[in-house]
Amino acid sequence: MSETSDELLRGFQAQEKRFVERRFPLRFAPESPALRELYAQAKGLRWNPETDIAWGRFDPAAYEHPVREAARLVWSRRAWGTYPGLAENTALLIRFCLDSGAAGMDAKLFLSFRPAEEAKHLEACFLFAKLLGGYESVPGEAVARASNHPFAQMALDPDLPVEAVVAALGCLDDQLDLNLCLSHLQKSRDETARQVLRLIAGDKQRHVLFAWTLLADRMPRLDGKSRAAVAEAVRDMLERVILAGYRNTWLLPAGAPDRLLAAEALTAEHGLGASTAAQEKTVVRATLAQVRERLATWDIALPHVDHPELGYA
Amino acid sequence: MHETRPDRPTHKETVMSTYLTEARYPLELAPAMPDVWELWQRAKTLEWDPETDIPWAELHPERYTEEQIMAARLHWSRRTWGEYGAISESPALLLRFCLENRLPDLRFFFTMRTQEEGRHAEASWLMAERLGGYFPQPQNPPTVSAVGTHGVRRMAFDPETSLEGIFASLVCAAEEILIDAFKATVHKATNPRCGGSWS
Repeated sequence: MSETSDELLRGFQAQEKRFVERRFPLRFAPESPALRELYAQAKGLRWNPETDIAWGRFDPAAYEHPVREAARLVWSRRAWGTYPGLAENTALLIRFCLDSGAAGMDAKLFLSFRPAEEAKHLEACFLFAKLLGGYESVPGEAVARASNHPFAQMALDPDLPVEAVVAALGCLDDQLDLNLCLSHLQKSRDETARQVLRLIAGDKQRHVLFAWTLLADRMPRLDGKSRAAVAEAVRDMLERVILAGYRNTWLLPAGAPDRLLAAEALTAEHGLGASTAAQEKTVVRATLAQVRERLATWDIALPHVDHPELGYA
Repeated sequence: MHETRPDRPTHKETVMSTYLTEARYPLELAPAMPDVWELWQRAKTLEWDPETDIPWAELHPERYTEEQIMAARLHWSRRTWGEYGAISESPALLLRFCLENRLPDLRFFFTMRTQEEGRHAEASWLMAERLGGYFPQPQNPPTVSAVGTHGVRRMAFDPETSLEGIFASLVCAAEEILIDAFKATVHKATNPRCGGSWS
């Protein structure tokens, strides 16, 4: 297709070849009842963005043009942040399969559902942006860089224990994403925005529980080298991804995101599904404290950070 | 679990600094293939749960001879192994769609396909279990290689193999045969639980 995609495929090809998949014995019986329960919930709590959100009750004319413009940009940005979930969770599913046929079926079944859930979130963000005046497919350069990370490759890296991937993506990034989503929901007054955020948050809650439950099951059995890899992956995710503005516009390099920052402020002010920068800062600080505390129970240290926008956290 | 390759650096400056970044933008999301978009829409409305949407209590394994039950357990275990291949291998096609920035309809639809394959594997496993027990591996060693892989994952990650070629072989040929076999199975199945699994 293109030089870049060919090169990327060759990278995946090289990673895949380093695994020796032992598919049999192929065990399906639950190993972790809690994980299997999360899978059962995913099957039971299905929803459809097209039909389960009362789009017809949203009146764009109730908001002035600048507000609609701001909100459509915010919901487009949310779509850019949701999209990576399709590939990263697919890669994680393949990784669990490559690791073993005998173990991990609870995680595999759960992950077989997750890309579709991410696709539903993506569709919901797209539909709302469309209703507000149109989805934007191209972010500014700073956002494009900050929202594009090779998590799928990370998930298929045989040098990295799968627990490290789950800790970085699930326990840190998904947790922050969930907490931000709940903050947006709390601050939203528009009925449609609240409905979209409530449905998305319900799925995200399950995604975060999956990560913590899987780690609780596996961390006690990990050797020192793998535990160090878990700590390094989480630190890397925090310092190079989260603090670089992956989820929060105000963490992007100064000047770059002015338009988006203004849009988020206006969207928050009108209750259309965003939090202010100050509110988001509180969420990020609280999330880091929460994640640090939980990881500490397995003697995994998440160092404090000192950032000009966030402060010491 | 996996081979170690001494030619690869063992120390990384940071976890993610060694990977390549995809060319993701523009990220188009508007439907561009109406038929495939329609499949995505339809898949969302036809979700089902193997655990609760099949009336397992009506299976009545006691109505069958020991020999029939053994054959059925083997049959449904074999089906489970095959469906698992679609969880382990076919999702690589979604990665390929994403890396090559293919039309959004394909990406949306394929997420649902992965979910559906998971359900098929679970339904087949539950059927074998309720018939008396699932067999976690083939009894006959040559069968392992026959049901162990269909090679789609390797093909999906190979830039020399065109996506269209994979679809022609896997979907248009192999799965067309599979669906015909399913139809024949449903037609022949007299126990309503067996036919119901393939709705």
